[in-house]
Amino acid sequence: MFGLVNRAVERFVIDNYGEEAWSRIAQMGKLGVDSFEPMLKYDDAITDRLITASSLFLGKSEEILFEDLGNYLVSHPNCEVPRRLLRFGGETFADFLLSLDDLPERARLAVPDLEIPMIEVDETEASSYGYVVRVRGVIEGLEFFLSGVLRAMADDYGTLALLEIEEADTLGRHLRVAIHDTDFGEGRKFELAKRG
Amino acid sequence: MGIVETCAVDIEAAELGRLMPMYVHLSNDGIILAAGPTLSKIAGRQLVGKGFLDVLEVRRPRSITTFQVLRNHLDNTLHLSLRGDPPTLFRAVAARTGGQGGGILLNLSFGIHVYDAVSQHRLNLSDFAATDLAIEMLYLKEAKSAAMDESRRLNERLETARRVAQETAVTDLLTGLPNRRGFELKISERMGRNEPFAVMVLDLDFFKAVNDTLGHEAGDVVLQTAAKRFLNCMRRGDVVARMGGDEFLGLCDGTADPDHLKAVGERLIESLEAPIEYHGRECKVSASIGIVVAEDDGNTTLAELLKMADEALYVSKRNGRGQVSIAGIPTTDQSDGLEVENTKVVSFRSARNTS
Repeated sequence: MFGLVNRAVERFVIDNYGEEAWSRIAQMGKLGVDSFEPMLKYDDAITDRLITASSLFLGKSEEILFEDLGNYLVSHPNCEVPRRLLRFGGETFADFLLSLDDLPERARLAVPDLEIPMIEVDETEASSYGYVVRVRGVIEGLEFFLSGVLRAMADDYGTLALLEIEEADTLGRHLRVAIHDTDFGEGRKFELAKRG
Repeated sequence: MGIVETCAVDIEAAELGRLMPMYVHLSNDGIILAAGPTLSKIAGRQLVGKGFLDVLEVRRPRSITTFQVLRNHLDNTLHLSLRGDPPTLFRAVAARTGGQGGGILLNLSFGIHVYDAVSQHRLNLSDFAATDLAIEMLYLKEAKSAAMDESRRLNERLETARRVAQETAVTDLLTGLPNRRGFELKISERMGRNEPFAVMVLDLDFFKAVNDTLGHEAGDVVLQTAAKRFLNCMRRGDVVARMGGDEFLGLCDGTADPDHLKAVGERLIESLEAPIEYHGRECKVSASIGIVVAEDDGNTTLAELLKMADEALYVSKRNGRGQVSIAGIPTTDQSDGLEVENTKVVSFRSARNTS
């Protein structure tokens, strides 16, 4: 798969734990490189080793690691690109959630051979405040990653939303999202045109 | 003419504004009756009651300068600009509406100017209809440029890596001098210049003894020191290279004087004979040197030059080491027919004799 994923983990480790932590993880995981190139493809086995090594070195389960990574990609000041691209999804957090269906198509517009996990969003019941999000990709545990992304996006919109991962149906885990207050916080401003 | 089907739409201005946030509704004589919220936001002032052509200029078709003419061109795509600094550019389609007197409804879009308009007027998602592909276009622009930036950075990193690899391929890592390949590249640059130059082959004497008694690390220090001393004895623009093992090469530029070259060689030997310290122990080496002068006639290959220099070096070794020999010039002391053959025009002596 594209180095983009590995690179995201690399930046996450460096920005939060420092260069030293990264080089230890690169050693432990026998990654064979000091740094990943986002636009080059790497063997999937390298990604597996990278995740195992990061989880071990940072002392957090892979679930927590994924969740933190998702949060980092949206909320860290060094990651302006993913946050902005996601905000194009809608004017409100609810609109954004419903735009997740389109995410793979959107990503492919920019990079045609990018493999993006399939995301499915359903509104639950009659209320428009409950959603179920399913994600399927080559990496196990993507629900946790998505949960981190969505929590950070809810903050970004200034929306209070509760997220839960459920082992609910035959399709495996899914994410339940309940919007409680759309005016909960300030949120961050989003202008269509990038400044500077 | 066929039957004209009418579609009776009775719609509130606010509702129409949701469908088309940049619409303008005009009376039959060109007065703005209503305008969409985004267009009003961009204009930054009240539009209702103003003359259409006072607010917007028709850029194309050029012939439209009065409202009377505009009414006859409603089938054209209109290119409009909102008067202001800088003007905002639009594309528009127009249609006649019913009602008393009949009016004109125009729907405006930014067309390709969408990015400029969005940044100039700080527009947001809510300023566009959900059906407007302008948002997708802005998204695409941003996603593509992020991908392009990454590709550009990748290219820069690959280019740097390529240069380093190229540099390493022609460099001897121990001494930092050019290696054999590096030397060949430099000398081939010199060879077409029609100026004399000399090639010097240098072999360290007693180097094996240092290696055997004090170890490879000592040997490495000796080689590094020898490289520095060799460089110090040469002029700027000359080239010193390591061929591997204890063999070095020198390229002396613009020199054809055998006395001068011999002096350079002897100075070099003297410099190399000064003891080299390694962890409190003294390493002593010397050097044998063979020199060939190339009067650049364009016929001599590098291999031939090196062969002659090697033969001169062989003479120095045979004569008891620590000596300088120049190809084509018989060594002064008991040479016993060991002098190098005076071949072609390459050796210094023949070069001089023919000039």
